[in-house]
Amino acid sequence: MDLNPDMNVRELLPQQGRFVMIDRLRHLDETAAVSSMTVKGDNIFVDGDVFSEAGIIENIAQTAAARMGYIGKYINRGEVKIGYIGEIKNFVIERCPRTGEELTTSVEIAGEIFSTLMVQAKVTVNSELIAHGSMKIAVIDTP
Amino acid sequence: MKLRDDFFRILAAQTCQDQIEYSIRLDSGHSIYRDHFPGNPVTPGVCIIQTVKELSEENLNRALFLHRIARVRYFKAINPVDNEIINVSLNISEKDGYYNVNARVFADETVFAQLSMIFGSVSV
Repeated sequence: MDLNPDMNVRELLPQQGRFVMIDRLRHLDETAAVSSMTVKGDNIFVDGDVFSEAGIIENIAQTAAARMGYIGKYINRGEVKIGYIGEIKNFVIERCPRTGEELTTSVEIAGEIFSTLMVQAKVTVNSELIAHGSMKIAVIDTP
Repeated sequence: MKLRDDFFRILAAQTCQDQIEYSIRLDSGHSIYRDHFPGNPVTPGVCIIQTVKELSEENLNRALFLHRIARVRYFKAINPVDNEIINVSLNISEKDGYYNVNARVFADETVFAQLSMIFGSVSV
């Protein structure tokens, strides 16, 4: 389903303040999620006008986290849980985005074992593929 | 964003054969820990990647671009209050203009993360 563009993504994430690394969760279904974010100059992962590799990876992790947050909050009527990156594998970054560019990030759920989610991710800028790879995210109930 | 001298500080560096080991101090009062996560400070996994990148840059004395992650594994979350001082060991080899960096993040017997990444040089 396509989601209300006015929905506040901060309600879906455990990260807060300047560490929020997506602007919007745009689409969500049983096996995937899509987010978008425009790189702004005051982003903590921007150095000069370059959005760092670390920022790209965080953007992917939060796309998956927002999907879990949406399901946890609006479908299961529970709380937004904290998730950690457990593993990153076969991950390629072609280039770093620059300020003003809009990232479209899609994650596909490749598997789910207990509370660990395996995702295959793809980040594009105007349909140019700039990063892709796989990631495992572990969700925990209490900190 | 540069994390060095802000999010972390280098306390010591020691070279042993083809390995270099840094001892670093995390700033548990850094604003990143207020947002990640509120009331529950945890060193973000991506900041560990960035830290390894900056220590590799310091060691090689050149700017790097993270081109490929073969595998990064996080075994245990780092709470910066409980683990203010941590060690990062680097093993760097060059091949065809790319740098293979194998890193381990640990304190005493605890291994927090293990990273295998390939960097390219940034042309200035």
